[in-house]
Amino acid sequence: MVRYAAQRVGLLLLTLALVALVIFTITSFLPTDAAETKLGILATPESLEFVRQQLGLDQPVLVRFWSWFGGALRGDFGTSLVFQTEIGPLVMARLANSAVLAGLVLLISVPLGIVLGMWAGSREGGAIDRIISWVTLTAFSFPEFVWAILLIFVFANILGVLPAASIITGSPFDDPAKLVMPVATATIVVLALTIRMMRQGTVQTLELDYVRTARLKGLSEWKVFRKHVMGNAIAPAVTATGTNVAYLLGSLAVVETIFSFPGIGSLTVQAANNRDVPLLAAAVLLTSAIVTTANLVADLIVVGLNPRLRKS
Amino acid sequence: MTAMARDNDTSGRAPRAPRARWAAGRSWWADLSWTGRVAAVVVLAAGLIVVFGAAIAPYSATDLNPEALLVAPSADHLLGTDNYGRDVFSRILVGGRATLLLALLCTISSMIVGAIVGITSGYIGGTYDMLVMRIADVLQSIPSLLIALLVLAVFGSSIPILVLAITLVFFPPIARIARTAALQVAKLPFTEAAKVRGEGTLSIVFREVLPNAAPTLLTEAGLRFSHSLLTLAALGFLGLGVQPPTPDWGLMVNEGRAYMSAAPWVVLAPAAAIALVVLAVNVVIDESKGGRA
Repeated sequence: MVRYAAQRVGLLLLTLALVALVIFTITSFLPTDAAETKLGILATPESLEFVRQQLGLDQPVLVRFWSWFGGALRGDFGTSLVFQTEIGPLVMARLANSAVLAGLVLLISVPLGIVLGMWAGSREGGAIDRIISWVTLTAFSFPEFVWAILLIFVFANILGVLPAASIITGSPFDDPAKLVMPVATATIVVLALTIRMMRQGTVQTLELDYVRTARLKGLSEWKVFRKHVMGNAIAPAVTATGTNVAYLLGSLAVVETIFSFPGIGSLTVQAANNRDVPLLAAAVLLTSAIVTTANLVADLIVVGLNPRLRKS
Repeated sequence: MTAMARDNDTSGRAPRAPRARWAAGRSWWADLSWTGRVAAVVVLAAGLIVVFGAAIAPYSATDLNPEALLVAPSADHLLGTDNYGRDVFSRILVGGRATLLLALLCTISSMIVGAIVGITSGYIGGTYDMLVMRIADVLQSIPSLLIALLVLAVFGSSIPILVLAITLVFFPPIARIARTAALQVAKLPFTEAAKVRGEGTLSIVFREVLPNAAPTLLTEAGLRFSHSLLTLAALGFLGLGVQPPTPDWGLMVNEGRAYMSAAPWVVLAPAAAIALVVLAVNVVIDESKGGRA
């Protein structure tokens, strides 16, 4: 197991280096380089030359990539064009805020998704299953921003019980009311996805031979479920959670923007709108690192539960 | 937004030979439940909007009318007017063409790239296969909305760049499916037979591998279409998608947000349009795969 985990961590680092390379390649297509952006209208051929040397832009591509990625590994992402501050601390502060949102979303959607998904799966084709299937299908057919706007309309505009914006300056927990709607919005879609994955896992497990045997030998439905189904349906739930972290971090970009919540997602969107490429590249790299790590952790748990998978 | 999380097969049943369903149109319709049929009609209506939307729109989608700002829905303006006095119903119809055609274009582009990459990768194998799948892995570990944001920020937003960004995000999962299909087909007797007959690789791929992978790829195309629509809507909403004054549905929701309390129809109409089409497409796919929603 330790050896397997070590291999997977090595693969993770390789994947991250390649992710960084993809991001770096995309940004290298920028029509204006950092020196031109920095000097703006003050640019003369001589001053451009000087700033390029200063920023190391005259170095070969691979050297520039390595100095960016190497810096990123040490937490040094350079300077934001718009904020004019160091990117590292800025991104980390925003990341901490987003972690609160994401943590709350997972805390609600994982247990609830497992229970509802198993319930639907164990009643395949029945009324409960059909209701749950319809509700979840509808839930993820609406884009997050539509859910957000509907929630704002109902709870802020009509009922007036929750704030429409979640601008916070201190700790996110200072005013928990501001967290309700962003968390609710992100939860709707993630919960729907978890339920559907869990339902599928349960349905498939119930069709297996040994479950039929357990039933045929006269075990009660509840016993069959507790002893033979639950354990097997947990693995897909863990994998689903890993995948959902990726989904969640993408959807946070939209949700945080709508609610003006100062997280990594709204920062990414802001950087994209301002064409603040160093900041954007750092935010995307960091988010991808979290996604890859979440998937790795999920994989390791699944493999830990079922050692047979280690071979492949 | 990592759309890939949305594309798991959630029908929860063993895949029933999908080929027969897609191939035989009549039995496909007969097998749909009434909800599936309603959904199919909605998808058809969306198609009609693309073709005839601009022709049947009662007003211009872009002309300003200062005398009718934020007018509530009425016989004159079925879905009211927006803050510039533009008829919302007409903007939905005209915007439908832009929104749906762009999503279709993105779907076709990612399907073509994904199918070519996946089938060649599965068929050729070896180092090429390993390299290509590694790149696909890497692209899939960046949340898709974020790559799109990065591409749009660097190149600026335009129709070709939007198509490029969405293709970059959506081709890896398609390539993976196409590769699996190609690997399965490559081992089948008729492919071996074609090889023995001395047919070239390209001819085998197009005549044997592609037709057999088509049903799976068609289902995937449907899913990609609904994801393209959602992703483009999110980008439009964030101000990085289709640029004004083009009446894009996502952009319309964003522009109307400020008037939500005074004139909710400006937001609700385009939001409902997006959700209705995505839901209808999802239901049709779900039922065509053999599950009941």
